[in-house]
Amino acid sequence: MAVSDLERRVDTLESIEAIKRLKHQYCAYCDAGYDPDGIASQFVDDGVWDGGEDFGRYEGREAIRTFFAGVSSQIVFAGHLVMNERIDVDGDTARGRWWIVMPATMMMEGVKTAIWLLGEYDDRYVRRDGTWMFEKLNATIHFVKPHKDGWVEADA
Amino acid sequence: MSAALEERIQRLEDIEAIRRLKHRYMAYADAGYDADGIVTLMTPDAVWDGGEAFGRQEGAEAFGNMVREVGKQISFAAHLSLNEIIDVDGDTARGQWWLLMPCTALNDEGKDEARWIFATYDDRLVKRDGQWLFAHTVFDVKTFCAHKDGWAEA
Repeated sequence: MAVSDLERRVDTLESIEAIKRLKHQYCAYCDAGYDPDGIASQFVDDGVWDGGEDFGRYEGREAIRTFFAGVSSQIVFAGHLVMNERIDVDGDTARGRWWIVMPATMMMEGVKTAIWLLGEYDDRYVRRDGTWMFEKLNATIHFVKPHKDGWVEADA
Repeated sequence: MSAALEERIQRLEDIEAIRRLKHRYMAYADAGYDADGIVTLMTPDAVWDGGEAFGRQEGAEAFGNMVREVGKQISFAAHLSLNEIIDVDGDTARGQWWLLMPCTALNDEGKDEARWIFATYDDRLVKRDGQWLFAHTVFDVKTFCAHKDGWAEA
């Protein structure tokens, strides 16, 4: 086997690890009160954070930073727990699909409320100067429901 | 193979070994809090610091004793570990994890109830004779609540 082939295979495995770490660090920033500088630093300058109808779309690092600076007033505790990743690397670009299950305490009508959020991510990543970063983060939220109610309206 | 490439593969293998170590720790805990099993994953002088909730245990023997006591209180648990951030530096490493744990635990009246633990781990690891082991763990419990009550008040 040519060394270059082996190096390419190792590089792919390293990229998958780096992307997992990037995503988990993003989640850790979110858990730590939605650290706006930390999160913004993980996106390229013209990166996009798209949370759909529920959370809105923010283009560019500054817009992302401003959005996250306001989130912690509404979500006082959260565990952004991600799993079932499918990471596809193609050279210096990659796609990552994940599930998220998130227990959290949110302000709902002025009251601290235990909630579950369930959603999926479909992210695009790019490698810049050897560092994997978010180019686009897409979050599709399936539900945000009070813990005591469950997630089927008829059960509430 | 070049030395540089071997080093890169070694790092990937170390990350995977540390993942497996953590998951084995969780499996021992799930299996009725197998204290004898779990202490084989740590150095003899390891420190396990569970804060106010679980106390600070110095040495594998002290930690094993605590695990046995916990096993008397919790009759079922799934230690689901997630969101790992693993940094390897030669024969030492740091591993940060989340724990999502549904369990059945005795309440104040001595009756089983459905409970949740949400917590994080911050582990320091060392490689001894080719085996990764836990040397120092900080276990930070965010919530240990009854399922019926939820965690908003905690």
